[in-house]
Amino acid sequence: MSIAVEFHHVSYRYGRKFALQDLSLSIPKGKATGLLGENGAGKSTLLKLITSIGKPTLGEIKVFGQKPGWKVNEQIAYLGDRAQWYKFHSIEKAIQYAEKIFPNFQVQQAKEYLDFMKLDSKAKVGDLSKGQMMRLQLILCLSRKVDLFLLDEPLSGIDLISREKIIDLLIHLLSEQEVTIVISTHEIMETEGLFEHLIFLKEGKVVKSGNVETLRAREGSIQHIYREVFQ
Amino acid sequence: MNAFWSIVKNDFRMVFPKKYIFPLTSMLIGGTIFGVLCSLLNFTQIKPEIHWVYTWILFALPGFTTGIVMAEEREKTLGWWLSLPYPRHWLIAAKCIAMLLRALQIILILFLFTNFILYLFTWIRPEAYENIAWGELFYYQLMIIGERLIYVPLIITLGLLAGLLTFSSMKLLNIPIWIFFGLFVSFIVLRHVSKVSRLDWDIVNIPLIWIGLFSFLISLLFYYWSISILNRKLQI
Amino acid sequence: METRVVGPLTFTIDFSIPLYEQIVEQIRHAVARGEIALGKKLPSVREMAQNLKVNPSTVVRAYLELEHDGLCEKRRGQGTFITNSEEKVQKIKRGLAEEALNNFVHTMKSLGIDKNTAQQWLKEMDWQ
Repeated sequence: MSIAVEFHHVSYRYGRKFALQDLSLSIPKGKATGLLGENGAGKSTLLKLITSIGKPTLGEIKVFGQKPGWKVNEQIAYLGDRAQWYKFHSIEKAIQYAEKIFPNFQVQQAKEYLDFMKLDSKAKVGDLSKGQMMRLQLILCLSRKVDLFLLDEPLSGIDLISREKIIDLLIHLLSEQEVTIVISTHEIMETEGLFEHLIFLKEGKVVKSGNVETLRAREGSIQHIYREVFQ
Repeated sequence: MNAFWSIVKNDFRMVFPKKYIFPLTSMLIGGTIFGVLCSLLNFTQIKPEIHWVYTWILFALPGFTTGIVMAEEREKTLGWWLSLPYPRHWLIAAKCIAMLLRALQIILILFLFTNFILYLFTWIRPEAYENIAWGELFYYQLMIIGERLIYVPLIITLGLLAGLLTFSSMKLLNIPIWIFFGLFVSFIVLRHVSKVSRLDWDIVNIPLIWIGLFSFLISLLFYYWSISILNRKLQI
Repeated sequence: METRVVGPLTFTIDFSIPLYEQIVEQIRHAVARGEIALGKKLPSVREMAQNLKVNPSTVVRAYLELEHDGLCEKRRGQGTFITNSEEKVQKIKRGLAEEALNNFVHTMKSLGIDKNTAQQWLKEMDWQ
């Protein structure tokens, strides 16, 4: 199994509190990895460290064998937690802007995804509902030709239809090409079938990880394991 | 480089969201018309000081600049912005250039507007400006603008730094930064007042070149400090 | 558990058991029961993944396993097809029947019923 991202004894301090504590993990290449944990478990921090939005207080991180930094970010499409897009853009303008600022942005694909996600390219970003806003951001993120996708809570707090559409788009992407994708979530109902690898994060530490089917054979459904771990 | 200018353009639009442009412009025009009417009808003996047309920008600029940094938070686009695959100094430079272009744009609009009105004055009520020819007032304004522009880099980088500090673990450093700003603009205003009123304070004797050099060095300091915050000190 | 329909096939997915195993199992049963005809094309990996809401790689793994069994064959650029060989289907049927019989014997044994009685009762069973 080749590895996309590695954490070696990483700690990250936020003020006085440790968001990550002596955390070591590896994220497999070419697989869909689920990063599961309650709010405040350190999921967002972990993804931010991969994109070098923060620097670890202690320890070492390797992304495709390199230290995180703006250069490696060329290979990463990151969607932050509770992120939105510039509200003064129209959807059309958002795609134009994304094409300009993201290397290897596939405009044609973005346009196909727009149809798939039932978004009107004339609409203003500021007028979109939460779910539509997330759909747009998924399009902007997934239309980038990169080696690693990081999606922080792409399903939380949005409507059912949008959640279904987002999952459909993710499955669509996964069946088109082999991609490494990390999705953090605490809503596992809809994502049960999506993941191949799982990492359970609790209070800044990895408490369980492994291949999903192996975990299922050994311990049952992800929902069940999740309850066991977090209760 | 294409990407860089696209970011500058986007930042430029973020300085004033479109919805603020109309109220601001109407306030400017409304205020001026009111002032001009008062002056023409001789309601007031107060002669407006021309330099304030440009000096106020120095006070407002750090606010605007802090604004384009905070805008990334307001728009909830910090994640997109900070994960861009470009060197950190691009992100900083783009915001500085965007702000500089906005400042120049505002100055140009004010310059045209003011000269139009001054021209009217020198024609209708020349005594309001002590019968000074319009051409001379025009030249005087260019001097003022030139001098104010020397301070602009320092003030822009200061605003940017102050904005970024709010995302870092060193938020409290904002207090000395703003105190420094207060001292700096007071100095500029005092220097102007003492020069105009011929008070012969010592500060007038500091040659502009030194002030310019000081301003340039401090803005470099703020610029690199901002980059280092992005690189190492973010806590979001 | 949720029931999901993909083309001619119906799946009931239980998330507490490995997913690819369930896909394999349920396609085997569908073929043995004749729900999907010999030589027919199976739904594409993407269609299966989209409808079952599972990772495409899970479907790929299930199809590989079925190919390995000889129940399916992959044709380059066309997709995965159910075998044309009646013989292989019979083998699968036999396998599933044996599994059911094993379960039956196991249950009878645990109830303390001997072979003769069980056979007698089987003969008396109404197959309709």
